[in-house]
Amino acid sequence: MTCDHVLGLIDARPFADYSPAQLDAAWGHARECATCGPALRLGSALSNDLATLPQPEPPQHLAPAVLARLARLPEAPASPRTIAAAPAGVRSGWQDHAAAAAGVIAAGVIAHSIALGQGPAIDLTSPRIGETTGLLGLEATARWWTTLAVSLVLYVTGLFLPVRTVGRRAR
Amino acid sequence: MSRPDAEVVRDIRRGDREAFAEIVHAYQRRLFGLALMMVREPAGAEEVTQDALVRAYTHLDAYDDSRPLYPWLASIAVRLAQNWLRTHGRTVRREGTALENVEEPGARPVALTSLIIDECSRGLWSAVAALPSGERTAVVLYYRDQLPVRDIARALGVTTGTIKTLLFRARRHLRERLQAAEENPR
Repeated sequence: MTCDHVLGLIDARPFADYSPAQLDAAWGHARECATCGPALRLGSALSNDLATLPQPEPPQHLAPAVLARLARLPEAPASPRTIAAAPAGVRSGWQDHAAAAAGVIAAGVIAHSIALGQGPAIDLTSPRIGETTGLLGLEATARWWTTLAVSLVLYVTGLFLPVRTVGRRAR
Repeated sequence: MSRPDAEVVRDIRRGDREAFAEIVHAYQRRLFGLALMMVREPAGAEEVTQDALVRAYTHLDAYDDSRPLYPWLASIAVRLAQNWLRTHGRTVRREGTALENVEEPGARPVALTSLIIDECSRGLWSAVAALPSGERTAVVLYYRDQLPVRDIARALGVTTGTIKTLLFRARRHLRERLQAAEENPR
């Protein structure tokens, strides 16, 4: 064990945290080293002394002053802080059923449009990439986008309707 | 025999305002010692301690009673002491950032030792009070108040690694100062 190692150990953590093997090695080196010996003894004493570091006496009027300030406060502190839960029963009964129905309808509409191939018809022979085919293509595209928009509205409605409570403990 | 903090806090929350006196008497000395070590001025330490206890009372709803009370009180006192240093013109930085260079003009740690009744302990107290801000706060909370590193980190709003570094530097500075004092006694 070198001087750097021993001095590093002294500063690294409180002496109570050392393993017996580490202490033996450090003391073994310190016994033969004029630099580390005093440093190790001082480090050891320092840990003990710091644990009993004195506490200065507060002024005698401190506690009465605090209590007098508290007495002037309008009201007692509240219980553990919480964010109020949403009133129960605001969303219930038919709204839950409506939410479920909205989800089922949305899924049905999407499945139907996929099954009938009502997606936008793409003309692969057109020089412009992604161009749709003529008037029929435009009608099909409009119908497809309308269906998709309605489905999305129904889906999003279904997502948000079942939300009931938002209560949680705040820290 | 004093009651457990959780029981006292429960009573206060039920509206027993008088019960807070138990908290004040139990912790005023530790909080004053912490504040004094941070601001290094008795009047400032008293102001910080008073404000910390009043704030603890008014914000008791924010205290998680499954945890020990003192670290929570200490975190309030530390924040108020940092504010006090800022408003009174002392240079203060976030704990753990280049703390050796923190200058606190006007602080006279040696004069404060008169508040320490035990003469044998004055030397060490004075040496700790002469440490940079973050180091002395960490030393008081770790050694004297016996708080775990994790709780100190939470109180100061830094990582546990920062606290370990502060403690490492503090021990090295203290050892060097005390060693120098031993070698060159006045």
